[in-house]
Amino acid sequence: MVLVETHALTKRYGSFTALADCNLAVRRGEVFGLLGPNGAGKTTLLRLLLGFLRPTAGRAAIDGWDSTRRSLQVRRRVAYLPGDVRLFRGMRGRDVLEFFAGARPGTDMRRSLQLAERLDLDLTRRVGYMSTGMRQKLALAAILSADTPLLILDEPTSNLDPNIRSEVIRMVAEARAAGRTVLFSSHVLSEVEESCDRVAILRAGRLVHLQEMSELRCQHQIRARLTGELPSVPEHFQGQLSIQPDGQGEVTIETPGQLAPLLGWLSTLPLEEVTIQPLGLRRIYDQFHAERWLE
Amino acid sequence: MNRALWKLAVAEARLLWASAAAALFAFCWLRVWLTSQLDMARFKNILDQLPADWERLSPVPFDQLVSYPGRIAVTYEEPITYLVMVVWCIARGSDCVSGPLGRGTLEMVLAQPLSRLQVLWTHTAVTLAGVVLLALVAHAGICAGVATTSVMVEPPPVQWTIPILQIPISLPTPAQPPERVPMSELVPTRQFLPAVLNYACLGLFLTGFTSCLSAGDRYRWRTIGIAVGFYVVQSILEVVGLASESWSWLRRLTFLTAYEPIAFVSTALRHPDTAWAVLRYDAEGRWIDLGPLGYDAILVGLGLLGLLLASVIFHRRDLPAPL
Repeated sequence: MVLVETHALTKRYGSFTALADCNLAVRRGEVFGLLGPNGAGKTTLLRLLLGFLRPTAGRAAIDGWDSTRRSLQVRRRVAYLPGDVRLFRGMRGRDVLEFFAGARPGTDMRRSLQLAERLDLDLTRRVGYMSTGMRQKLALAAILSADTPLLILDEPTSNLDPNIRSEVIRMVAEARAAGRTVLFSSHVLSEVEESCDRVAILRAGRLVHLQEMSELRCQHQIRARLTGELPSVPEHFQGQLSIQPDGQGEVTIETPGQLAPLLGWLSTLPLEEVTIQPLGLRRIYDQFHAERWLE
Repeated sequence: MNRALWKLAVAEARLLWASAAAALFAFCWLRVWLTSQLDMARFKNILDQLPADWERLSPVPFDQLVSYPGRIAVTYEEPITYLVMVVWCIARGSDCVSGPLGRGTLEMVLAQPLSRLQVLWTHTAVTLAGVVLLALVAHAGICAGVATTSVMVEPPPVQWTIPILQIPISLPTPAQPPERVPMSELVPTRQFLPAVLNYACLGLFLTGFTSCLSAGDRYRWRTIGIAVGFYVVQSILEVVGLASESWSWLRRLTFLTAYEPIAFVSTALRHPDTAWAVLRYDAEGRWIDLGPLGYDAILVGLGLLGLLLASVIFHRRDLPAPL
C-alpha cells in the first residue's frame, strides 16, 4: 500500500529545473532513501511533498492527500526534519520541545524528554548557546516524538558525532519496526545502505534509478588471485556471472543473486587470497555519479 | 487556535513591546510636565513671533494651540511618539514572514499541522493587540501627567454685570498673584480619545503595509528597508504638501494626511458633537470633509487591505529553504 506518491512532479525556477518528471511511490512501513549530490533535487522533492513549494507540473500526495491543495492534512501525517535545522534561539531546549509538543496535538511530551535523554541533551541550555550538533539532536527529539505515519528526514545525521549517528540510525530502525514509514535523504552511503529498504538515486533533478536494497544485499563481488587457468563457467551459471580477469593475475567475479549455490563451484577454482564482499550501494551510485568526478 | 503558537508569538513580542510601552509612557508623562513648565503667555509670545507662513505646517490654527489641551495634544505628533509606533509596527510586521523565513524557523513551524494563515494571523493579532495597547499606554501616560501636574494660572479679573443692560465690565481690583491649579482642572483627558484612536489606526496601517511586504519577501532587512523608505517618502510628501499651496495635492498621496490627532482633539474640544463623526457637514448640511472617524476608516481600510494582500501572497508563495 502506497503512502507517498508523485506523478510527473516538476519544479522549475525560470530556466532552471530543480526537479523533472519525478514518479515515485513509497510503500507504507518502508525506509526509503534519497541519494544524490548537492543540487540533485532531494530537498526540492521533500519540500514539494510538504507543500512548501508549489509544483510547476505534476502532483504529489501523501496518504491520498494532495500536497499542494491539502497541505494541512498532509502535515498532520508527517514529521519533518529539515537539512539545516534552525530553532528559536531565545528558547531553552525544554521550551522548544514543549512548543513542538503543543503545536502538534497528540504529541507526548514525555516521549520527547525520553528521546532528549537518549540523545544526551542538556535541555536547560538556550538554543542560541547550543552547538550545531546539539541543535540537530534537539530537533530530532522534537520530530521523532511526533506520532505520525511518515517521517521525512533530510540529512538527519549531518553535524552529528559517530555515536549519535548510530543512535539516530537505531531510531530510524525503531520507527520502521513500529510500522512508520521513513523518507530519508543522505549523502552517507553506508547509512542509507544500513537503514533503507529502497533507494532512489537522483541526478540533476531527475530520478535516475530505484534500487531494492534486498536485491543489492544478495549481490556480491569476489576478488581473488589466480593460480591457474580459469575453467569455463558451468551451464547453470551461464549468463548470471560477470567474470573479469585484470590481466595481472587477479580476477573479479560479480554475482547478481544468492551466493550459496556458487560456493561449491568457487571452491574448485584455482584461486587464493579470496575476498567476498557485498556489491554495495557505492557501485550503483557510481554508475550515475562517478563520471562527474572523472570528467 | 493553537496555544503553542500564541505563546510563541507573545514570547517573541513581549520584550520589544515592554520597552516601547515604557518609553512611550515616560515620554507622554514627561511631555505633559514640560507643557506645565512653560507659561501659556510665554508660549503665545513664541507663536506670535513665528512667521505667518509657518501656521500652514500646523494641523490647526495657532490660536487653537494656545491652550493646555492643545499643547498636550501635540504629544501625538512628536517624533518620539511616531517613532515608538513606527518601530513597533515595522519590527513586528517585517517579522511575520520574511523574518522567520530568513532565520529558518518558519519551516520548522510550518512543518507542524498549522496553516499558513493561522501562523500569519496569530502573529498579526499579537502585533495589533500591541498597537492598541501602545495607544492606550500613550493615553495613560498623558492621563498620569495631567493627574500629577499643576500649573500657575492668573485668576481672571473680577467682573460685574450692569443690571438691566446686561453688560459685563471688569472691576479695577488690585492684581491677584497667580494661583497653582491642578492640570486636571484645565485638561479634559476624555477629549484626547479621538487622538488615541487615530494613533492606533496609524499603527494598524503600518502593520498592514509592512506585513504585506514581509509576506512576499525573503529577507527581513530588505522588508525593513522598503518600509522605512516608504515612511520617509510619505513624510516628505506630507511636509512639502503642507509647506506650499501649489504642492498641496501631494497630501493626497500620503497616508499621513489621515493622521491628524491634534486636529481631532481640537474638534473634540470645540465641537464635541462632531468628535466621532465619519463625515463633516457645514451649517447648511453640505458635506465638507471627512470627520475623525472618516480619516480613521481610511487608515483601517488601507491597513486591512495590506493584511488581506499579505494573507493571499503568503498563502500562494513558495517557501524556499533558508540560506
